[in-house]
Formats: sequence, C-alpha cells, structure tokens
Amino acid sequence: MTAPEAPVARFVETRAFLDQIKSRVGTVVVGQDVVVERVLIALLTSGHLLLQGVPGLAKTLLVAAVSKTVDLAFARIQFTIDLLPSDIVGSEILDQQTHEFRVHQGPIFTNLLLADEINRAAPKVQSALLEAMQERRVTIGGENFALPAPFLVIATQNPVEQAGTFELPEAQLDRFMLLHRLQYLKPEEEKEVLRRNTKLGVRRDGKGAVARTEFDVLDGQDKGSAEQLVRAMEDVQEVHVSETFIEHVIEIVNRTRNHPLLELGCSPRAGISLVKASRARALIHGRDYVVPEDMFALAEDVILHRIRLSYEAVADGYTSQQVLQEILSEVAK
Amino acid sequence: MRLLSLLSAGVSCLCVSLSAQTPPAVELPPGVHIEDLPPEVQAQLAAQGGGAQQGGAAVAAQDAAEKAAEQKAQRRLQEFKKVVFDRRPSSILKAWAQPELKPYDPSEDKGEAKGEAAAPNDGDAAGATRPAGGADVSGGAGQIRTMSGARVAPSAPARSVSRATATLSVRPARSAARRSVPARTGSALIPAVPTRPAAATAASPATTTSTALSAAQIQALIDAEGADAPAAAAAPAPASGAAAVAVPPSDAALEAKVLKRELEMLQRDVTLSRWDQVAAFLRTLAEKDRKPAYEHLLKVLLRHPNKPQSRLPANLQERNRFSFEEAFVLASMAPGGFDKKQAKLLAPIVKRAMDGGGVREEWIRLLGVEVSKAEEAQRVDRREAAVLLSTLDMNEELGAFLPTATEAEERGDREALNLLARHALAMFGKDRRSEWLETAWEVTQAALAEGEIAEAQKEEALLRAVDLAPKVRAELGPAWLKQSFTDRPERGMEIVATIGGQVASGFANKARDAAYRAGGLKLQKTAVEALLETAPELADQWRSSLQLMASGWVQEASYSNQYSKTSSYGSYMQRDQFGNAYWTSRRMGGGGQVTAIEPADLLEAQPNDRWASILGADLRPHFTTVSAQLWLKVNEYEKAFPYIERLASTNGRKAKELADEFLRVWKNNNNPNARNRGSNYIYVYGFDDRANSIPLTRAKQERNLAELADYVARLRELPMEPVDPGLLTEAFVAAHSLAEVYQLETIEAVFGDIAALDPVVLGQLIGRMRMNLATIWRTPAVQQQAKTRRSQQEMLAEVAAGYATAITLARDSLVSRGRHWSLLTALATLLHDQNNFKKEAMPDSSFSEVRKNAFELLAEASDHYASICEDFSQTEETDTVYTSWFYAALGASDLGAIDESMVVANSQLPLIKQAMADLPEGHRERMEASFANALFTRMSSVKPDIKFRYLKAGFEVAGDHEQTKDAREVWDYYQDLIAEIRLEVVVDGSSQVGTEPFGVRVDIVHTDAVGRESGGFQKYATNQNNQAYAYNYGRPTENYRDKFHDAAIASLQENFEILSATFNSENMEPLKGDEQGWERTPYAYLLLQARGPQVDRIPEVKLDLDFKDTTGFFIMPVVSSPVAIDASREQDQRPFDGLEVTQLLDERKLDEGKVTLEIKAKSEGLVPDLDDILALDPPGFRVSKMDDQGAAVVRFSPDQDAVESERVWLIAMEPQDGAAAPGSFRFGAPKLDEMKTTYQRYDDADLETVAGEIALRRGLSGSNPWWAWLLLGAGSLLYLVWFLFARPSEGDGDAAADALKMPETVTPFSVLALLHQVRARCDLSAEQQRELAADVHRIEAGHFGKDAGGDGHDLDLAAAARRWLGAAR
Repeated sequence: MTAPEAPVARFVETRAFLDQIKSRVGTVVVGQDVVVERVLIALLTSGHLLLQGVPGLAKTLLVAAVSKTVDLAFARIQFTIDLLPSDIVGSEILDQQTHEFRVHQGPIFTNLLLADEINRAAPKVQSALLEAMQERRVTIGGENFALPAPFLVIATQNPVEQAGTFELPEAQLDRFMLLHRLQYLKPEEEKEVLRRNTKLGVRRDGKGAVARTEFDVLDGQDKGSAEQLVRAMEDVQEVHVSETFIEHVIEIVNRTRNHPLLELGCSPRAGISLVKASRARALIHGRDYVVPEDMFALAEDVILHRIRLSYEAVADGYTSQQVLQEILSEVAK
Repeated sequence: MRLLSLLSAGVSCLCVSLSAQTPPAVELPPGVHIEDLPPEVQAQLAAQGGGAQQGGAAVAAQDAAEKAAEQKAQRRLQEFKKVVFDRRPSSILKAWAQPELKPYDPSEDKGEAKGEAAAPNDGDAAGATRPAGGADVSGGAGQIRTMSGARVAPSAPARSVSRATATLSVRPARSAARRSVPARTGSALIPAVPTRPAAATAASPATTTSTALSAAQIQALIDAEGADAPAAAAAPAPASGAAAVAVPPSDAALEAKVLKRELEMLQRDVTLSRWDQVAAFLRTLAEKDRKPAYEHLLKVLLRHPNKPQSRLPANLQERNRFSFEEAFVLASMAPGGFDKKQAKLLAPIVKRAMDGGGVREEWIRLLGVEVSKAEEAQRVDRREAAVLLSTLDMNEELGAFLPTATEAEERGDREALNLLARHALAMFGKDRRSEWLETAWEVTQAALAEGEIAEAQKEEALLRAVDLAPKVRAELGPAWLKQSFTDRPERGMEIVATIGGQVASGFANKARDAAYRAGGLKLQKTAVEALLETAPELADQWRSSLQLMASGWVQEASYSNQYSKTSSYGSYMQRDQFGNAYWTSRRMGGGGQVTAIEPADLLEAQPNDRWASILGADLRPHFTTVSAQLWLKVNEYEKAFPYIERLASTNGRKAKELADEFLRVWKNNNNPNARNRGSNYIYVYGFDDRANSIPLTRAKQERNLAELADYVARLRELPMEPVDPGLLTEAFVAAHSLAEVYQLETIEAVFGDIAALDPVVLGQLIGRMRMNLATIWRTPAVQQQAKTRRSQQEMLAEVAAGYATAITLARDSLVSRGRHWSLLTALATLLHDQNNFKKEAMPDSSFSEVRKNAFELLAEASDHYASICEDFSQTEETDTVYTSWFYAALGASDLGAIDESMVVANSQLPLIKQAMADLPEGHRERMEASFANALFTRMSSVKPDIKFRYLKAGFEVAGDHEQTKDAREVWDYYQDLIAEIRLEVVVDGSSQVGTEPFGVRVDIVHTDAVGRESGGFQKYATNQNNQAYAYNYGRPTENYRDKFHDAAIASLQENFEILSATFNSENMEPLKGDEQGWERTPYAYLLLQARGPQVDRIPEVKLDLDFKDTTGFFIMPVVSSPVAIDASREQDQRPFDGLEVTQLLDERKLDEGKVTLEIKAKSEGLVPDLDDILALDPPGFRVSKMDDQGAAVVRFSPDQDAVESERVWLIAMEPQDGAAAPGSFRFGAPKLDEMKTTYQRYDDADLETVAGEIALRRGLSGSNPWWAWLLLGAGSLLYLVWFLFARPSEGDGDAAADALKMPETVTPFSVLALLHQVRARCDLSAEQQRELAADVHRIEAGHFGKDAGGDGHDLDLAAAARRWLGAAR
C-alpha cells in the first residue's frame, strides 16, 4: 500500500464515511477486508459484483452488514433450479376481489440484492436478472418499472466444477464489473470468528429464546445515510485518472486480445470497469488520483472472468492467472 | 371627374366631420346613382348624413355602409378562422430568433401595388396559413394615413390613428403598444385623424366605418406617399372615371395584404406567448364575434401546422406546448368574462400543459392561489375552477373548490351538488369506502329536490341516482326507486323518460361512444327492473314506454351482432414469455360509422325475462332472435338455446336458422382437436403443450356426444324444420377425437333411429367414417399426439373394429332402407378400403375377390343413381358414385390415399365411362363435364408420384371432353418432359467387365430448356434431411441420394453386387450433350461387380425427378435403358490416368523380422491391380501377407466425366527362409512410364522421403550395447552429486535481489513496479522503507496525480530505479 494514506482534504468526510462502513462491517465480519473493499467499490461505481467461493464464508452476512450500515434496502434470493424469472422481477396477479390486475413487485426492487448461488438457476432466470442489472429497469405485465437507486447486485456462485450448476457464459459474466474469488480465512481470523461467536448469547423471544447470530448483532448498528453514499459516489467522479494510467489499461486490454494463449480477450467494458474500479479504490484509500497499484490490485477481479484460455493453453496446463500475471509483468517491464 | 371630385370631397368631408362633426352635403353627378357606387363610397355618403338633397339616397347609403362593414367583419373573422397556430418548442425558438414583423407597408412592393391596380384580380390566394381575402379598408386607410403622415415606414403608426379613426385594424395600435413607437398624432399631414381617438375606440364597427376611406383614396394616398405632397391625401385626385372603376380591386388586394400581415403577426404573437396582443386582436373584432372567435382560438390552439410531414406516431410528434400560467391568461382573455362552458375548451390546454411536464399538484396549487385572490383579480373563480377540474377528470381534487353540501343545498346550487356528487364518486373509486357512495347519493338527492333545476343538471342527477340506487343501502337507493315507481309515479316516468331518451338518442348522438351507450343501456335495465320489481302494476300501464326502451336495446344488439368483432363473452387466459398466466380481454371493437357496443356489455344490459314478457308480439320475436344471435356470437350456445326454443313456436324459419348456427357454434366450442392457440412465442417454446398433454379425449368426447344428443333431441321436439343434417354430421364428427373411431350407439344417440335417417345423410356419415379410417385413425402420429398410448396392434384393432362398425351400419341401412345408391357407394368404398387395410396388415388371396365385389357394388350404385336421378334437382345431383368408383379403380376410395404401390384396375375405367354415358340426357352431360372438370381441379390432392397415372386413367374415362382442357395442358407438359429427359447408364471402359469390379456412370440427359426450367439437378445429389438447413420449394425435404441408391439396389441387386455409389457434387453442372440443344449432367458413379458370368445386361435404373406444374409438384420417374455387358470373359483393363503411387516402408519392427510396406495409389478412373503397376521383389524378403482393399471411388473428377479413385495395399514381409534381415530394402519398381512414384519410410513417427533402395535401420534394443548403459549410469551419478552438494539453495536473499533488474523501458509504471518489488522482497531498514515510500508517493503523485508535472515528475525515474536496485543488492 502506498505510504501516505492521509485522505485528500475534500474527501475527508467521504473517507470517514467509508471507514465507518468498514469498521461497522468489521464488527460482524472478520478477515474479509478485501471483500468489503470490493463491495464498496461496486457500491460506489454502480457496478455489480460476483463473489465466487464455497458456502459459509459470510457472504450474506457481509452484504447484509453493508446494507444496514448504509441504510439501504436489502434482499436475498437463493437461486435454485426451479426458480422462475417472475420470482425475481415480480408478476401481474389478478385480484379476485376487484377483478383487476395488480402488479406484485419481486425482490429485485431493492437497493442491494444478494443473488445467492446464481449458477444454480436456469439460464433463463440468470438472463432475466442480468437484463435487469444491465438496464436497471424491469417490465411486468407490459409496464416498465425503474429499479431503485442505487441498485447493486452481489451474486455468489460456487466453483463451476460442481454438479447441477449452469455456468454463466462469458457474455453474461462481462456484466459483472468485478468477480472476486473468496478464500478461506486465515487460522487466526477464523479463531477470532469462533471467539466472537461464543459471545453472542441468546435472544429472548416471548417466553422462549433463541441463540443470537451475527445478524442479530447487525440490528443495533448505527446507520449511515444514503446522502453520504451519494456524496461518496460523486467524489469517485472527482478522482483523477491520468493519461498514462489509461494508456496502460489499454495496453493490458490489448495484450489480452492478442495473447497467443487466450482465445477470448477483454471487452471494452473491461477497460471501463478497471478504470472505474480503480477510481473507487483510490477514493477508499484517500487519494484523489489513481495509481498503478490500484490497477494491479484490481486486475484479477476485473479481467480474469473476462478472458478465456485457448484449448492448447488449457492442455498445456496454463491458468488464466498465470497469463494475466505475465501480461501485467510485461506491462510493468 | 365628377366622381373623383366626389371622392376628394368625401375625404374633405371626413376631415371636416371629424373636426367639426358637421356633415357637408355631397352631390352625386348626373346619371350616377348611389347604388352604382362602391360600398365604401356609399358608406361615406351615409356617414355624411345623406344631405338634404339626397335624403333617400343617404338612407340607402347608410344601409350599404352597414352591409359593407358587416361583410368586412365577416371576411376578417373567416380569415382569422383559417389561421393555425404553431407553439411547438422548435417553432417558438425559431420565431424568437427571427426579426419582428411589421405591419404591411405598401412600399414593400410598391411597384407591385401599381401592377395590381392594373390587374384587379391578382389577389393573394387564401390558404390555411396564409389568410387572404377581404381586408379592412379603413384599417388600411388608417395605416396609410399614418405612414403618409409620418413619411416613414409603417412601423411607426400612430395608436391614435388606428383607434381614433375607429377602424377595425388594431395592428397599428398593437404595434405601437408593443414597440413603444410614439404616435405621430400631431402630424400636419393627417390633421383630422388625431382628433377622435376616444370616441372612435368606443364606437361600434358600423359607426366607425363611417370614417373609412374609399379604396380610391387609399390608392391616392399610396401614390401620394412618394410624391412628398402633404396635401396629397386630402387633395382631389386627378383621376378619370376609368381610374375610379379600377379602384375597388386594388383596394381589395391591399386589404388582403394588410390583413394577411396582421394575421401573420397574430400567429407570431401566439407563438411567442404575447397574449396581451392576442387579446387586443380579439377586441378588434365585432363584439358579437369576439366570443366565438375566442372559443375558436381555444379549439385551434392545440393543433399545429401539419408540416413537415412526419411518419412518427402522433403521440411522439412535437406538439404545441402550453404552461399552466398560459391557461390562466387564456381564461382571462375571454370576452365578457370566462364562461364555465369555456372550461371544456380550456381543459385540453391544461391537459397539454400537464403532458408537457406540468405536475398535477402544481395545477391544483395554482388554482387554489387563483381562487383565493380578490374576486376582481381572479382569472378563474371557484366554480370555474371546479368545472375545469371536473372536465379534466380530476374529480378527486374538486372538494376544495366547492361549497359544502349543506351550503349548496341551502343555496339551491344544483350544479355544485352535481359536482359534489362527482367528487364523492371519485373518492369512492379511490378508497372504496361506502361512505362516499352515500355522500354521492345524498347530494344527488339534494340536486333532485323540488324546485327549479336546469334540464342538464336534472338529467345528470337522475342518471346518477338510478346508477347509484342499487349500490347504496336498501333504505336509500332501492327505497328511492320503489318510491319513484309507487308514491311518485311522475318521478318514475321522468326516470324512464330520461334514461330511455338517452338510449334512444344515443345511437345517433353518441355514435362513437360505445361506452356511453352501454352505460345507458345498463341504467335502463336497472331502472326497468326496479320498476317491475316494485310496481308491477305499472307494467301494463307503461307497456308502450317499456317496449320503446327494449327496442333501443334490440337496435343496439342487432347492430353489435352484425358489426362487433368480438367473439367471446369474458376474458381469456394467456401466458407471458415466462409462463405466468394472465387474463386479457377479447374486446375487439368493430362497427362502421357507429361504434358497436361490446356484446358482453349488451348482454349485461339485456332486458330480463319479466321485461321481455310484456313486450308486444311485434317486438318479442325480434328481441328473442337478437338475444339468441348475441349469445351465439360470443359462443355461449347454452345461453342461446332457450331463446331458440322460445322462437320456434312463433317463427319456425328463424328458429331453424338459429338452430343451424347453434350447431356451428357448438361444433367450434366442442372440438377437442381444436388447438387453443395462445401466443406464437409460447407455442414455440412448448408451453401450450400443457393443455394437450392430458389424455382426456375419450371422456371429453363422451360428454360432448351426450350433450349433442341432448340438444339434438330438444331440437327435434321444436315445431320447426329439422336442422341441417350436414351440420349435424359436422358437429358429430367434430366432437370426436381424431384418434377415436365412431361407436354405433353414439351415432344412434345423436342421429336417432338410423332407419329413419335420410340415406344420403347416412351415406355421408359412413363416408366420413371411412375417410377417417383410411387416413387419420390409423396414423400413429395422430394417436401419439392425442396421447392415447395405444400400441400399434391396439390401433390396428381399433381401426378393424371401426371398419366392422361402419360396414354393419351400412349393411343394416341397406336392409332397412333398400338398395340406395348412397348406401351402396358407402358400403362399396368401405369394403374396398377395408380390403386395402387387410392387405397391409396381412395379405391374403381374397384381395382381388373383395375388390371385385366392391366394384360391383359401385356399379350397382351407379345403376340405382341413374334410375332415380331424373327426379333430382340440379342441386341434388352428385358425382359421388362415379368419383368414388374412379378412385377405387385407381387404388383407394380417397384420392389422397392412393399411392404408388397400388395397382390401377384398368378394367373398371370403361365401365365408369359407360355408366356415365347411361345417365339421362342432360344429366349425363353435366356429369361428364363435372367429372372432366374435377380431373384437373382435384389434382392438388393427388400424390405427386401418381399424378401421371391419375391423368392417364382419367382421360380414359373423360375422353376428349372439352372440360379436360386444363388437365390436357398438364398432361402435354408431362409428355414433353418424358421426351426431353432420359437417364443413361454408361459403362466406364469396355463392356467386357468379367466378374471383377467395374464402374458405370449414370447421366441425366436432357434438353437445355428442361435443365433451365427445372433449376438444375443439383438437389438430386443431396440428402436434404441430413442437412442443417434445406429448402425444397415448399415440398417436404427428401433424401434424393438415398432414394436413388435404394432404387438402384432394388433394380440391380439381383445380378450385381453394388460396391459403392458415388454422387457428383452438389455443384454439378451440365456438360454439353452429343446432340444439338441437349445436355448431360453426370449424376452418379456405381461400382458394380457382376454376380456371375451369366450376367449379360445392366437392368434399367430409375430416378424420380420432381417438377412443378399448375397443380403443384409431381414426380416423374426417369428410367434408363438396359445396357448390354459381357461378364463371361475376363475383364478388360479399366481406363485410368494420372496414376500416383506412394510406397511407405515401416521397418520399426525389423528386429522382430517384420517389415511392412504400405502402397497407396490414386488415379483418375479405377486404380488397376498391383501387378499391373509395380514390380515388387525386394531382395532378401518375401511377402508373407497382402491385404488389398480394392479400388475406392473418392469423388467425381473436376471435368465430371470420370471419377478419382484410391487403392491401398498393405504388404507384410519377412526375411526369406528365416535368414537374418538384409541390411537394405528395395521398393517396388514402377511398370508404367507415366506413373509417379514416391518412396517413404518412417523416421520415428515422421515420414521421410527416400530413394528407391535404402539401408535398413536397426533398433537399440537389438544391439543392447553395454557402453550405453555405462554412460547412462555415470550421468545419473553426476547429477545426484550436483543435486546434493552443488545446487544453490532457495530463498537466498541475494539471489532474490539479483532477480530484480532494471526495467527495459523506464516508465512510471515500470519503475513503480520495481520499487514495489524492492519493498516486498528485500530486507530494508526502517529508514530505507520510509524513503522508498516517499519516492513511490512522489512518483505516483507526479505522474498520476491531478497536478502531474510536480515534484515527482522531476524525479529521475532511471536514477531512482538504479538507486533502489543498488540498495536491494
């Protein structure tokens, strides 16, 4: 991390707001600083985030925590094979009393949507969601409805090797600004998780009680305002991007397109996403300009899901990470 | 001269009259009458008071002046009404950027003006946006006087001039006001004008015209303008009488120009929202015209010029735009104050303001502000605001602008009460609280209270009261209705009259408003039902009125029945693209000049039975008929049936028509095979399969048939003619599943006693059964689609049972009804088809016998028909017997069922011909003509491959009848094709083929015309069903290659073994033929091998070619001629060319004593035997095994005349007589000079080309040298020593630092990357780390920050990189 982390003067409030989010989230989620940062980047840039990892890594808790700390509406959809598009976007139903049609809005009408295990649903359902993500509006019964602002989808997916999943095609993956691969916690972090868990206690409910969970801890959190978020989003737009930086982004994107081991290179959207995400990261780190470190830190999350190895490269045992690292190191030579 | 004097005197008089108000005497010249003068002059004379000498003339002149003024005002108004206003944003901006318009100045086209004087009719044409026509003379005068007086442009007219002279032109005044140009009232040039401003302004138009100048004066003024003669206007013009005659046209043209400019300026004022100017313009109109003009303005303001033409939908086009404030301003402009009636005209403007982005709440707020002003400052008062809101359908917001119900009631304000009721109903619509309904009811009652009430208010209240009555509490609404029809019959009559009147006049007055009329009908029903419920004793008394009301419904229902496009009563279910269900209405509208009311609405408003019972005999049948028709129209046959029953007793004919229609509707509704088509999208994705996947056909069918039987029984009971048996048959057939055969008992249940059934109808029914048995009932696809899950055996058993049932029915009928031709035909065709069916299932020897019996029955049927046909009307004549007989002779009783496998019974054809010839004269001719005609018209039903035989047989029956003309043309075409296409089989090489493989080429030989017309023969070289996409010009796709291959096998396999069949490419092109105009398309190459020396010919080979004629496709088999061959002698060498041979030696198993030689040869033509091409004798080796895979045809050669073939030999060799393998190998030597030979061997897995003789290599394993093992062991030992002792250890910091190196290109990126690596990988001191961080920050800020070019930018990147590399090391 670059040494001078003192925030730029005009970003002080925003920085404080973002730090507040991180610290609040940190009270319930342990050891996922990078993921929290990625969520914030997505939030600040109106991008969408895809988290890839096995269940139980506190993805839901993380997203719920972010939504509660910023006072955003949050909804979660567990994707299953029998899910229908109307279960997400809503449908038109006939009111038997009035004999009139009433629009029932689906869970997508929220600010933060956690699409859990998106690769378990049929492609039709996936595409319905991705379409809404792209256009930020849905159509129910011939009527258009704009989705709330901000609208952010954080999807999770299991590693694609698992059975019973529908892998998202590259064109749809491209809709996600970032794809972050979650790792298991370090032992000491996991230890902290367990330690905190032992102190949760119980929650009385009438005459009975239930064991409290981390979600119960969330309820008492103070809330940041949506206005602060809007301001932070505006501040992102103030972050400077130098010509040199843009040229290097272009260089990376072009190299992915011409690399002999890659069958599919980055789309123009990848370059855009890399610049947008870098700006947000710079803001989170208190800078009003982006530096190469931002690009290097985000390159994997922005680029890896947008490139595809050629058949020969796979046969020779290459991985996308290796190719990307090679490209990055060549750019830095 | 005298007249001119008079004119000048008139001007003088005008001046005098304006100053002294003493009219001078005017004397007309001798011989000149006042009626001969122009109206303007007459007006002047009248204005002068007539004069003592011209007493009567003065009065006439006065009248003429008034008339002229009136005409002028009318012209002005008419021109105004032609103007269209453009307030589209683009036009507003454009107008804003353009220079101001000035009032018309004759100097603009002075020369032209003079020309106009010479050409009096050269006026400006009138147009929608270019108003023209009459102009205001005095206005023109005013302007000109001003201009003359000012000696400047007319942009500086004097307000006092125009107003003072009291002309109707306000333009100068408007211009003056708008442009703040000081009036030159004091100009000496127009001394009299400024003296009368106030009086003239207030003067009426008639009065003011007395000061108008004549056209001649105007012209004189114009002429004088350029002559710098101050007195010119007043001086007598030296004009002749001829000049005076020319004055009026010039005057009119000038007026037109002035007015035109004035209206253009008005348009501009409207565009630029200068409403005060617009108001000023309105004030210039005659008082009585101002209000209509204002209302016209409100109407046309929303329209905009329809230019430029746009293809965009109207709702997307740019439209005139307004703001709320402008709506208020417009209201304030209303002459004589804003009128509530004008609210309706203003409402669309407010609505447009909302469409343009105005917020509803803001409009309400502005209205609130407006009405809270002092009364004199209000542009819209409370009541007008309320009316405006109500017109805008904003009744929810009305409350704030209305008095309370009590206040309104106390004041007897019926309008307010009605508005309150609207408000209450709107609130009820919003929150559905019944209190609102009751409020609406109460205020409506208050509005209906005794006392004076306007008719419109009363009608509105009354209609609402009737509408509300059933919806509110019993003690309110129903009680009121009851009271109206009992205690207060006068009110009841009023209700009936009001509602009935609305319905009666609605058809004419509200022709396009179907909803309004439907509402009226429903109200009518409510009122009448209440009347009949509460005061039945009044029914008789009011019968005539009630009948009138019912006739209103009947009229609407009749119209709707005829014109409505809706065919459903309620909504129906649809599915969206995701499979979710939703309902949608089937309302389709319809109608011509009058919009039809939806049948569903009409049926809701239908007079009930009680009401219908009191209708007179003249109306009741009509009512019943229409009711039945309407229910049938929406496919609700159950509801329609009682009406048919009722009608039968009074109008049997109509009841029969309805019963027939009933059967049609029943058939459509109960057809289990009708597909419920939803959206095409759903169909594609298979959602609709849900409805069809339930195997309900049997149960549904049973229910249907039971219901049909019930209805038919009830219909039989009715006193009317029996229903159409054809329709009944159709209904019976439709009720069955396609997969289910008919049962005898169900036939009897529906049709009643079979014995009593008309034989023709019965024959039709049996014929339908037979047709189904021959086609759909035995089709597995139909069974599968109907989800019957029948096995093949079950299905055949079902069909067999069906045949048995039908035959039993036919035989029983023959017994009961005698030998009738219809029944005989039915039985014969049944037996014929059953015979075919049995033959397919299990052929036996009875086939011919049964078929013969069937033909005999048909002959008997024809005899019977001939015996009774003389009594037939022409409509009863039918060719069923003869066509059935003919089709049966072709192979099956149905034309569509005849296929290629069936044999034509040629013996029957002359019998059919004779049978027709035996018909009575007249009838015979018609029958023969009918048969001959059908020969062509039914060809589309004939399978393509039997069309040829169909026509051939048909001509044997029909002969040369003239009606066969069209069929003959087709037949001639077939004959031409036969003559112009043939198939040729050509042996490749000598015909002495022996019993070895040889090739034959199959050519399609044809005329170039046929090749061209058929579009080429490429498709015959394809298998279309195996292609991803194939189009066969509307025909099912065909595997042509496989079809020919199968046909060839069928033809040749007896004598030949077909080793391969190779087809020319899909791009094959015809080659030039041997004869002029003929071509040859090589099609296939067959590799044959005769099965024995006895084979002496190649039998004919068939290729089915399909062509298109006027009846569709037909298939013409083209057959080759047999070709003689000689298989008894040894085969001659087959021709070949371009032989290439590759010999590949595999010596890798030489150590095992094995060598393999693979020889590949390819050539054009068949590759000959190995002995013929190579001398293979490698020294020291002998052939242990040879595998010859034979010649394989690969493809047609590019010239298409020959084929390319390949042949492979695999030869295994071993050293001769167990000796050691020799050290070299010699490949086979070519025997032919022209052949090309290549020698190859394996080098590991690769091939290398070598010489004809090579040294053989031996493998390592064979020698197994000891030194190789020794070397390998020593090498391994050395590596082990190095690995254990000499290998550098990992994690060495120096080594890591060494890995860091100077970037190849020094850029901020590369240097930062290096520094980050240094920080991550090197062990730096704390101080160094701080320094490093500072450097990184400087570089980042300097090269990537906003103020790039600062400190960091100055930092020497290369030096920094070197420094930190050094530190790292």
